[in-house]
Amino acid sequence: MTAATKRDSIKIEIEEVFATDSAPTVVLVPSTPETLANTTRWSQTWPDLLVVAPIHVEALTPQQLLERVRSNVTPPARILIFSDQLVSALHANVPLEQAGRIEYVSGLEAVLNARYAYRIAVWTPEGFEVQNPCETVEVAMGMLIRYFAHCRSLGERWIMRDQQTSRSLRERVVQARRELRFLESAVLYSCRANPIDECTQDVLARIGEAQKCLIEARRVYDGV
Amino acid sequence: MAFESFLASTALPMRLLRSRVSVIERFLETPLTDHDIQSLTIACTRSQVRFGAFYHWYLKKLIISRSVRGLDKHAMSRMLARYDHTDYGVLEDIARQQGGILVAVPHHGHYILSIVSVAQRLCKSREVLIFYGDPSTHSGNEVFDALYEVLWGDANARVQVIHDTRSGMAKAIRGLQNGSAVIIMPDVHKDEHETFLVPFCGRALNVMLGTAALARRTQSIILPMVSRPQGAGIGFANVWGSVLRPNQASQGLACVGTNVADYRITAAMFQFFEEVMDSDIIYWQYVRQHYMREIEFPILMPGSISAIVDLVLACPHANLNLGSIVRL
Repeated sequence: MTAATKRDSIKIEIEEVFATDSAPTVVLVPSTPETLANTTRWSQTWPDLLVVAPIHVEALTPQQLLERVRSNVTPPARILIFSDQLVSALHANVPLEQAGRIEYVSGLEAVLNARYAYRIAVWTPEGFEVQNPCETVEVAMGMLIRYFAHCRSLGERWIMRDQQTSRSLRERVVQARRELRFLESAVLYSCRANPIDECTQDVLARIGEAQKCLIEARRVYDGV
Repeated sequence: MAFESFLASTALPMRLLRSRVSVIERFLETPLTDHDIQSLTIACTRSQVRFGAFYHWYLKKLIISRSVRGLDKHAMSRMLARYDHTDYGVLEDIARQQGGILVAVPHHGHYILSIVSVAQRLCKSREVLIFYGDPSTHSGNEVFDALYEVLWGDANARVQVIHDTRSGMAKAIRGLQNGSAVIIMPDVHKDEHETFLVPFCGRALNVMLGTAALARRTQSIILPMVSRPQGAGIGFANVWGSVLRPNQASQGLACVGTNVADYRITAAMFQFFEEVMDSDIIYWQYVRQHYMREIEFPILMPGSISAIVDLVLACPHANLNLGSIVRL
């Protein structure tokens, strides 16, 4: 399939998915120059369309989307999620083990599917794969895994390709160790002139325990 | 005034430049990136100088580096006598005491000249070990090896160079236990995960606790020192901090581990460095990297510590949620 065909298929089928059925639907698309450019047009076509895309300033965050879904008596009918942009620890916080490796993905899609009865339409190069509402978490996660595999097939046109490394356990451990050391330093600095009381001892012990857990996790899952 | 100092003085108008000049960067052989410029602009504002002050400083460093090349031991001593305006009373008092001494010197100002000056004085009363990164892993440090070879290369010299290797560390420990002086540069690290953070000149800075730990283990004292440039030419003066005694500071803290005591000493050491360097931060070797960082050090109020720790430990940046793995 050529690049032009792929681009057109995303454009055509997203319209079909939203147009053919009025059931609440979440569409997952990859971040490519074409899909990002089309987002504004899609929002004009469907004024009720809610978009989750952290790199897009006008889009919603996952938290904002969930608030909208929860607060409305009638759930928003059309949601577009660039799941490949949900890479940060804040957005991708569900550890998923597959083939002995752990990667972090967003739980948003699974929540929308399982709890709020959205059907999920995932882009594939051959068209959209549609997942019925109220599936299990495992089914929803499996769908996400396939979505990422399709994203990878886009090669350099997938603009979030390089950012996906931050899903790995290895990367998360590095970041978490950094956070904990920062916290530990802030605690040590704040009490540098005073005796260490029981409360501070307890706090330092808890941080130390969390640090040990990280190192152990990396050893167990990453073999290092 | 010697030629090199005269040269630096004549370039003084360079300090009036308000923004970057690519021609000067080419002349100084130091092309700056946009990030460098952004970072240096922050540093210049903090030091209340114009951007040209960085160029002038860089020129001075170049002049020194070229002047030092090819000097023999005696010419180097004459050069130091000309430019060093330090009052060494503090050092002489300390040198009369027994026990190991760690002289902690950040990469600021003319720190190499300062280290040579201090080593020349301390070696009259004790062995001096100069501790720095192994040139095989710290590119550029071969220059120091060559310089120290010229100055103290003979068999009878009481000044030796040691590197940050296992054998170098063992030598430092043995030396300090036997009352030697070790000159160490505590503002560098190899592995971020071995560092802690301290507030430093408006940003958080990663620092090793190694200097404090070394002093504690060997019951040595730490003498913090900053090399501060003086005047328009090449002059400098060493500024001394208060003596730190990690062995005493660690008493009563055994129940919470050695990191607490070592952190306190390290924070005190960097607080002194900050007091001297903050207004002259553009003379610090790592100024560019420092201000590329945006994170300030958080000061926690004692009453809020427990609640903040609870929040951070629960947030997904620190809590990897490994108790709830979804397996496919």
